[in-house]
Amino acid sequence: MERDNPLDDVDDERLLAAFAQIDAPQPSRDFAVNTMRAVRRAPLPAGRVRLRDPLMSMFGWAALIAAVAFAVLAIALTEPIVVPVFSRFITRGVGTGMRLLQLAPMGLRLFDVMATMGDAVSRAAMTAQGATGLVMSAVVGVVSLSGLHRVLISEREDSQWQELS
Amino acid sequence: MPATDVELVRGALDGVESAFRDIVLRYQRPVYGLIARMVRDPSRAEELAQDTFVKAFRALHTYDVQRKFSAWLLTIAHHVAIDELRKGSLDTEPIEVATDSGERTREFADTRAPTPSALAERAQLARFMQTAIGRLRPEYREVVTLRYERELDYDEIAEITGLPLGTVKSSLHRARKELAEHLENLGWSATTHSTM
Repeated sequence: MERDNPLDDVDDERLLAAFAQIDAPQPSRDFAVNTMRAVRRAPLPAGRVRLRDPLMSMFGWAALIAAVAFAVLAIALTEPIVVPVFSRFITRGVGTGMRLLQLAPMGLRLFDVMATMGDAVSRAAMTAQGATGLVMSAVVGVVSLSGLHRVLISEREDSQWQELS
Repeated sequence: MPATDVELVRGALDGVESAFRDIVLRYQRPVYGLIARMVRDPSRAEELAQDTFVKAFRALHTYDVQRKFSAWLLTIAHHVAIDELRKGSLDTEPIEVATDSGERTREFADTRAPTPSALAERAQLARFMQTAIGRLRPEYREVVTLRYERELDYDEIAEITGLPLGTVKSSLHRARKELAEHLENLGWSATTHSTM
């Protein structure tokens, strides 16, 4: 059987055809990741902007805003003027909640409500939005309780504010 | 529609990480392929290809948008590989010698519908080619890779290698001749079909 040597007629076309059939060397799967890591670390000439990930920047801004919000809240709670307003708000909120609970039917009906709420919470917890909402509710709850705690303690103490009023 | 090279370059210069990542993903194969063919050490080639992208990123502000980006990038890869070859010995012996036994009958297979035997033939051809390319002088390896693997025209090869057009043409002519001889020595003659 006679074979056809692809390079007998050595010309561009035949070599191009021959090379088209073989795979070119390929880098490893991690090549791009490793390269980007090296690129990020590389020193840059003056005036050049460093690479940044837009998603990470967004997270950074969100963290900064949250930190500022918490700081403002913490500072506000130490102010004598803010504390009574905040405590009144909490007291009214808790009182309203308690009254609503008292109005709610007892017994099985209450059990049904609790069961439904439990079901809703568990369903919500399975979705990203629901889970986020629950976490936020928990955070608000913790902050509220913390404020309530401060208020209850301050009522037992003699403060200059009480003397003035 | 994917972003053009120039758009990606502008994005990377503005600090958009995904823009330069897209450049790496787009050109990792040509850059690595050229260097791997020249230095013939896969792990070293990967380091040098990475070095090429780092150098390209650092020099990105010098890139002239009138130029073809692939040619600019491959020029950097060319210099990185040449520097490496200058540092080490210019060994042109193949890493692996294809001496597989078996009948080497062949007619190029249809790549659109590869049968098992066609795939085996392609694998065998790849081994022979790799060995034959490995036996070429480094400068010939480079022009052969750029011309036949990357399918660049002579002008682009001249731009990347910095050689005059006439030199590129004569180098390719001699490289083809040498390649044919090496393949012949490996058993790719037109009339024989015996085992090696």
